[in-house]
Amino acid sequence: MNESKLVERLRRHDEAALSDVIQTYTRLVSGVVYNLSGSRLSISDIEEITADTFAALWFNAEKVQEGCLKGYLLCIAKNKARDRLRKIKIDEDNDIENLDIISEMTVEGEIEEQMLSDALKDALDEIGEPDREIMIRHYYFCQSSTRIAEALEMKPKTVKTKILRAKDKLRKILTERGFTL
Amino acid sequence: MKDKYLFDLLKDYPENIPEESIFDSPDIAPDRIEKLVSERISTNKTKPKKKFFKKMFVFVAAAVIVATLTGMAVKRFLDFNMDQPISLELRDEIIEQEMKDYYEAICDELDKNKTFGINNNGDSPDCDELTMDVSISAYDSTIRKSSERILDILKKYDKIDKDTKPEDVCDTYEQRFMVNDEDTEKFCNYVQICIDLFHNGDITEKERVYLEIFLEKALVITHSTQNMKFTQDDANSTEHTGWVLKNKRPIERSETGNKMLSDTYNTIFNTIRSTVGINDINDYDSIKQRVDKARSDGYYGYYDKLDTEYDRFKACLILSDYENNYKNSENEKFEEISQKYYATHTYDDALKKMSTENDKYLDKDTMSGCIEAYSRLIRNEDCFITMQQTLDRFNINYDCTTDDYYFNSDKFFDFIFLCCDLIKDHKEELTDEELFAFITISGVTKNNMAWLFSNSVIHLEIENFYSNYEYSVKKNPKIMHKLRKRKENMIIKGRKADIKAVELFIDKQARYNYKINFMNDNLNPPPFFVNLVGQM
Repeated sequence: MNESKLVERLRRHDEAALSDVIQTYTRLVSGVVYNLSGSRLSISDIEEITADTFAALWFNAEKVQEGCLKGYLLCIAKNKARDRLRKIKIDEDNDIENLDIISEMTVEGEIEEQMLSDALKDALDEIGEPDREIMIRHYYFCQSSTRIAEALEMKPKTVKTKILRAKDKLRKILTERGFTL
Repeated sequence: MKDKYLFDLLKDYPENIPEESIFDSPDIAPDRIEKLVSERISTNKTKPKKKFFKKMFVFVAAAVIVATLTGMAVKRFLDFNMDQPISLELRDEIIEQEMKDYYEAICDELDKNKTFGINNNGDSPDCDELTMDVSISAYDSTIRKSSERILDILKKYDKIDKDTKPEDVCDTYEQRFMVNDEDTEKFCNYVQICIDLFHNGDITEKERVYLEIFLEKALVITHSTQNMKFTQDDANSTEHTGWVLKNKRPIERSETGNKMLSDTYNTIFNTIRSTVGINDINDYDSIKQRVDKARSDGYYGYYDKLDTEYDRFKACLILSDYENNYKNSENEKFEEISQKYYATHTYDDALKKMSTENDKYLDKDTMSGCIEAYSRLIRNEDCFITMQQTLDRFNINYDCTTDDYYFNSDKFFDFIFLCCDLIKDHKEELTDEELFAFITISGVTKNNMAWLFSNSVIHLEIENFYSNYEYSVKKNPKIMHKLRKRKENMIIKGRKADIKAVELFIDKQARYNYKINFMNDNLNPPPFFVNLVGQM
């Protein structure tokens, strides 16, 4: 499926395009929501959040940048999941750390965001494997350290350690490049 | 960047991680998600409407609140000015009584002067002067009666001295002209006393209505008088008739006097504007129309209750007086017939006078319209007839030098009736212009024969048979518009008329039309019509 054409059709509010997106990314979106919430959200909640995510895409299709459809969907899905968790007064899984690296820098707007995104990608590349995959699985796909350990045939404790070290590495790299984490 | 997780910034999907190893979520069917999304989209489409309605609701609620508050403020303001509402029923009753007083006063004047219509020189005065003399005297006595009624109310509540007379407050016909500042000040002070009592007095409802009616009159008077100029030359002139002639006093009022009148006008307006029914203080025409309507309603309401023909004839004169501004100035015939009728009390003399008149003429446009329409209709009936043949048939002569049509009186009636038959039978075939021409021919013509038809003796006769008719012209807005346009033309010519008069005119046409129906229906015609038809 050509993603750019799909996004273009979405921007034209082509309902068939939305159907294609749903068929393609339901597993991805619902999986991230599930990973983020662990067992604290019901199947029904996950379905609701997943549906909300695609609906948000439908109404904000013009905001989706080319090549960023999946990232956009996951970002929305995670935010909605977090919101839902806040509403039911359940703290997010400590295993899935927030990577308390909310940027304190003064950059604002999409340009700054894009600069940070690029810097993060570079930094992830620099820390190398398997740290990169662990970090992506944990922070991007919200996978628990246990699940990561199973997938990568590691001990959960090892995964946790690698996450901590990789986080320090990322913070150091990004700080050196002018970002305050 | 606060509240934004760093990895959320990763917009590119990491392709090198196998998806199946990432997700172990329960099996969530895309179709199920699609259905939920569809519901959200359809629901979300209605959201703007909900917002819209919500906004509208808020807006309307706000508007209602503002309007209510404004209304309350206005009401408080009006309440401050008008105290309490006037009973319209009581008001109508009192106005009708005033008209009855006026009518009786006219009858008294007529009975006092058996040489009605003949002036001291033995000449016949014109109708305007004739009716004016009678009506002035009658109005004078009527207004004095109502003035004394107001004085009695003021005296009852100790607002004025017990021995105050109408002339002391300039509330009599002669002095109402307020020719100087002294008279003007008297009248304005008097009005202010009435307003104070109207506002603050613990008076009966009937007294309040009397005061309001008086204030309405005062409103018209103060407005119409303040800018009126009447010089010594005017006073010496014979051109001025009616009440101006009767005064014969040049206006010596200064700007101060005019200002007094203007201020009084504003004060009265603010006092009674809710009952006058308008809010623009400068809309004098509407005020006067409103006041006149109340008067005319009284006139005609009373007229319809008259029983004897004699009373009706006298009432007709009153009505003519009221419509004086509307009447054709060339109404000598009416005057003669009126005198004849009054002298003999029979229709025959009047009819004889009418039917022996020589050539009559109509204005060319009216005549042309009728003849052309008639010819066209005749042609439609396969009876081809030329214009000249039409003229010949009805003994109508066309004078190309004056562009007037002349015709014999007998034939005139013949033509009129034929026209009316045509209207009746071929109304649908006539254009608006033609129908208008036919209607006009029986109404407003130069020689007033047709005017007589609808206004005086014959009108009274027709009136006896007038009931339950319908005439399309009343429902025809185009014709109404034309008549109103004609009214405007008449105003341009110096004849002031109002819509009421025009509507009455139309009403009279309808009554005339009844006669035609009556003849066609072979009902028992009155002697007048038997004679008339016999002459054809």
